[in-house]
Amino acid sequence: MSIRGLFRAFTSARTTILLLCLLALLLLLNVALPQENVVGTERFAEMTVGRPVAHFVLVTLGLGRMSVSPVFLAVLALFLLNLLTVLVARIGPTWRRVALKTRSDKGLQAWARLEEARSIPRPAGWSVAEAARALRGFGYQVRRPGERTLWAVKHRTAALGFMLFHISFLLICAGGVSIYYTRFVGSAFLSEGQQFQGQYNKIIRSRPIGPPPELPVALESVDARFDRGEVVHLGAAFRFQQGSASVTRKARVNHPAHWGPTSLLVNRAGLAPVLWLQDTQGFTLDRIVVPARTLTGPPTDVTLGDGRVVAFILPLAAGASFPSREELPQASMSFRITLDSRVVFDGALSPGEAAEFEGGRLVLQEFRYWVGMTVVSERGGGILIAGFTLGIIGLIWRLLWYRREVAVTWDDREIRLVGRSEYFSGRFQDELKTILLTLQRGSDDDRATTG
Amino acid sequence: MGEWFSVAFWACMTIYAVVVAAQIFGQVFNKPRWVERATYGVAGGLALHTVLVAWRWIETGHVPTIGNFENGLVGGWFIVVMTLWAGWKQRYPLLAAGALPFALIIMGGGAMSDTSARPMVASLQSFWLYIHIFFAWLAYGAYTVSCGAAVVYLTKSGKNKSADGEVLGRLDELMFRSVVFGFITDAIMIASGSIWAKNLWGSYWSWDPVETWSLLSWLIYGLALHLRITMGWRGRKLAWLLAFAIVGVLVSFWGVNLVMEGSLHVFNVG
Repeated sequence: MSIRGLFRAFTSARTTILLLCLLALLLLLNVALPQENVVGTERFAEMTVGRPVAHFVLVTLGLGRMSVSPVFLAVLALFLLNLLTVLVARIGPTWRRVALKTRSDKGLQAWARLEEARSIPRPAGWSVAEAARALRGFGYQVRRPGERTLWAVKHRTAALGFMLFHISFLLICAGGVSIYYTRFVGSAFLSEGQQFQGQYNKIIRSRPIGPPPELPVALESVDARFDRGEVVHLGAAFRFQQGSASVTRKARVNHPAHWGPTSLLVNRAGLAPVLWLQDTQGFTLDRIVVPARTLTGPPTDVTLGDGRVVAFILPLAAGASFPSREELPQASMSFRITLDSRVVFDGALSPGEAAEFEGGRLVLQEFRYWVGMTVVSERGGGILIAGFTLGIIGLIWRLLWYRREVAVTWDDREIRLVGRSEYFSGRFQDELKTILLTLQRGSDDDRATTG
Repeated sequence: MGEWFSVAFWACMTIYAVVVAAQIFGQVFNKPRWVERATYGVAGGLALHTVLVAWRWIETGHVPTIGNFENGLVGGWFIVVMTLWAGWKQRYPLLAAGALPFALIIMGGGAMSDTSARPMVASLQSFWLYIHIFFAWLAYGAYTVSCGAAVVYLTKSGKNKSADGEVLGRLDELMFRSVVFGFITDAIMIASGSIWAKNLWGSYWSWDPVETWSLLSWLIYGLALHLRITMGWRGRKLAWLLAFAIVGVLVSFWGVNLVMEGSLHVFNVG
């Protein structure tokens, strides 16, 4: 096949439909087959290890990691290539349509003969100028290609909507690629007053290019409110260091704090007991702020001092309300303390109280709040949003402002009106009827005013 | 839900069910007046349905958007409004028999889940949520109308049926118009959901099952548009495609339940 033939085959509507069907099939497989990002890495491994068929389908073919599987990426690449070639192929026709290159009188006359024309007897006093004005009143741009022919087009730029819609996919793809190569995601816990020093709890995704983001931030305060056990407000104030100055930015669920290309999303909160380990003389051996599981989950354990003392902090009792800031000084949590694996204390502590045990004591100095946050850093979101916007504009432009064209021809006895629209033919036929009525009424009005 | 609310809800469901039954009866036994008069029943049911939406809104203090019950209640309302509007504009009341069963399914399914009023959790307190679900309801309503029109088209046309060409033409155009409307609003729904997801989860797209189903549904309707515009698909071929395409939408709607474990669309924070 020649290059021209290949290009023609690639730009055909059938190719586009085939690729759309393939993409739809792969998306169906995406939800039908277990995906690693949905079921989790461990469970995914359980599903594939020792199962040759599952391993072949999910791992070898990559259908268990559909978004990065070679099959999916190949079909996506072909689809984008198809879009690109269609765009290139449509530049010429689009330009001709938008530029409103006047059609030949002969062609329009032939069209009027071929299609079912609506006609009215030509009234006395009928004028071409009046007919053109009536068509303009309907939003048409009017040309007069022949002595007895008017040609009018409405929404001549509709074809640009097609171009925009297809370009938008390329933009979305460009944004996606940029995000893929620059994206970093990590989760961390910070307690009030704590400075972030890169202590990620988990790095969820490292960026393929470049190091993790610099994040000179400290947590100032947390504001968490619960209603019937559900978080109805969760916010935090962060202090970012900028040279010698600092900037405070607030974040809450759905409203991340931004620092350059990095966003801080708050998503969890709880109580952080400040614990002091002291010896029998009252000297402080260790001081630690513990982001403790507060409402649900297993006890939070923390090792203090030289490793001999371990404190287990139990979540609040079931049904207990999350303490507000005013309630913090009176709040209490249950602690179980072990010394060399031996339980030496088991009971509740409030701020200012201490658990005494052989060889020392553990003081609960105060409760603070902690916040769980996701740190996301990426570039390319703007391109992606531009793609979304362009795509929606393109769709509306193309599908709602669709192109319509009409031809009015006449002789000494009658006026004929023919037209075609890209779609919505029923609505267009109604419009043609109204245009014809207007042409007739306009003539009547003229006669009334002149006669 | 409270006792009186429950009574009103099931009364509304009953009205819709009776309308569908009356229209099917009228169509099967050639009693056009049954079909026409049943439309008044849709209007009456819609009035009660509107009161229910407002009632729930006042009771919970937020737009009914939380959980399957509220989504079914409001999603069903959109379907009924759009069905009534399209049936009136197209002068084709039988449309209700094709589209209303979907409203009954999602409302009935919602009523089977937890119907208690819940506070507006932090993860749902976003302006983007309203944009996202408003366009979702519009899109799903339009797709339901297209499916209803397709079902009616298929029952009216066929080899052994002498259907009125003008009626079939109107139904064909209604299918196409509904898909165009649904496709645009669906695109806005996906884009706004993506922007909301970025703010809530830090990622525009997570290949979450609900997201993937939505994209798949959108792609199928895009395919239908492509087939119509470039390949000239109309009539029964398009009707068959649209009658089945609604499956994707239903799965998207109920997808949260089906994939609860793996989906991010659960909105718990804490």
